[in-house]
Amino acid sequence: MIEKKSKIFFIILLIIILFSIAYTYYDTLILRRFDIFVSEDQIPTYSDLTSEIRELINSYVQ
Amino acid sequence: MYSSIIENLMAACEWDTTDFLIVSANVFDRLIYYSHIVPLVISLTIGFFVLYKNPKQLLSRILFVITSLFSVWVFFDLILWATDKPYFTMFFWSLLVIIEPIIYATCLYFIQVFITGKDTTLKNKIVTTLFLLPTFFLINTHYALLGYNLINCDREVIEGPLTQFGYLIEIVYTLWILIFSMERFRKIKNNNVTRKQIVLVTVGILLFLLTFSSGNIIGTITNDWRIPQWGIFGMPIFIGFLAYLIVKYRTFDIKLVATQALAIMMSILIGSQFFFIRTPINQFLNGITFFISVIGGILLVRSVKKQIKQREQVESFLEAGFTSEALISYLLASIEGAPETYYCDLDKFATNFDVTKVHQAHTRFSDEVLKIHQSNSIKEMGNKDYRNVFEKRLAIVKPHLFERYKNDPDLQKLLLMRRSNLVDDKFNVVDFGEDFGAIDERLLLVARQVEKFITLNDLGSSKKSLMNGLEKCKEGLGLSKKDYYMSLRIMYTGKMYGLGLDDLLSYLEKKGELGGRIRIFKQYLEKEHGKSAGFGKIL
Repeated sequence: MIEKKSKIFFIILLIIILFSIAYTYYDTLILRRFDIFVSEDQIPTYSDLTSEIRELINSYVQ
Repeated sequence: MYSSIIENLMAACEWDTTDFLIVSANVFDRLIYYSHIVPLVISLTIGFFVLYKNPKQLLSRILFVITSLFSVWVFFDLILWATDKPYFTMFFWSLLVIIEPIIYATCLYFIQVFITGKDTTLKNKIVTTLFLLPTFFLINTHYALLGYNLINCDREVIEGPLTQFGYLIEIVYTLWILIFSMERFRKIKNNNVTRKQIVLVTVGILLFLLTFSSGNIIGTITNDWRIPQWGIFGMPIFIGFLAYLIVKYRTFDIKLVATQALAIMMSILIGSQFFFIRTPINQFLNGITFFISVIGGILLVRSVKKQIKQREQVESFLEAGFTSEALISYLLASIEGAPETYYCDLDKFATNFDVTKVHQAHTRFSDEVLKIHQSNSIKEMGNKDYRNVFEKRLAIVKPHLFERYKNDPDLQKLLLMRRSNLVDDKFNVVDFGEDFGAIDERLLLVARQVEKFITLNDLGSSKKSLMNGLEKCKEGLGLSKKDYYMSLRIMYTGKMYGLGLDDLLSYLEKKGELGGRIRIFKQYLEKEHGKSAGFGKIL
């Protein structure tokens, strides 16, 4: 059988997964907030992504 | 909505609309349905079956999670093949990015529990899960999916670095499984059976994961998403190995035989051919084949199940030390009668005291027992004949009771007592009632079972009246449970021999069994029914 601590751990993990799914659902299906690329030039590079993640981390910190 | 440029580009692609999320002409080949729905149905069936059979076992639960996640993954993948809506593609693709690494992590957990035979530590779980956290937290950023690709009309996304990271951790989990298994294999030196199990389960899971991931990785690298279709077929290979493990080692304590697994697989595979058959004549022929395979499978499974059950019971009886006489009687009754119905009726009998059904069940026994039953008028039979009847019945009923109480060694011990302890030489009745003060309640229950089964067949339809009468006696006299059962036993015994009350009481007095409580009972009966009342009148 699974011990109590492990059960709590699995519940927390499940909550995290459900939260990320719910957030994705809200963002893509409700708000439809995503990019549509019609040419190769529009695809972001890795440096663009780095700046995005930096902004994201800053927003978490603030 | 979208800008006019995007609207025009989407219109230029001439995508078909979708019904029920997955039905669309966008799915270019019906093989896609075949390659998705077959593994989905097989995995879900096995997952639910294993969980249903052994819901409390950790391995069953983990396997259920794996099969469920895989089924969800396959279904979402099918949606991606069919949908014409970019937001659906984005959402379900994101979910695939989340689900895939979880399947790998769960497979690692499965193999750890399978090999060690116990749950892993919390620390191990946390370490395993750490790799998944970036995916969970960043799934909604450009790191996971850059965006929807409308450069071509393939209805796909452009994956970001997080998705590539997902593939990387899938490889890490695969290596982890391999290293863990090899290490355990090396440590176990003296147990070839365990080593074989480790090899089989590891190969099964690795085959599944490697085909699964290779399809995805090839698809990402080559941008050709037809190839991953073959990766999905890795699941039936894994299930094949698992079915073998269940049959061979009974890993999940399921009394499943290869015939069952094969019959189900055969039916599913033949049925799934409808997904790609196009001509009506072929559909008709496949329909007939499907029907025959389902009926044949059901009959085959029933037959094999019956044999397996008998074999396992005989094995358990032999282990318990039953005599060959008991086993022969049991086999006669099982093979020529209807054991399934019999068990069922015996159970009902025990709980509901439904005498008629037991009576009917008994008549379905072998011809030999049937004859005994038909000629079973105690008055017409001598004591010796009755003893023979009794012994044969006892030989039949004991293994069944033994099986029913397999988790209770005390009760099994009682059932294995020598016949001389169970049967009085002169009186031919199960002798559990010598000392009620010392008899455990549970033993008393078994005593009742044996007594009821053996004696009630002789009492015919009047048992209900007898029981009602005794209930009234119990209430009227304020008899305790022990006294009540003692009275019951006396009445059964008397009825079996067609004795009058006085005869019976005289016999009991001689045997020294007529204590103060029974005297009260006697007085009650005399008061209610008159002195020297026979059992007929009481009933």
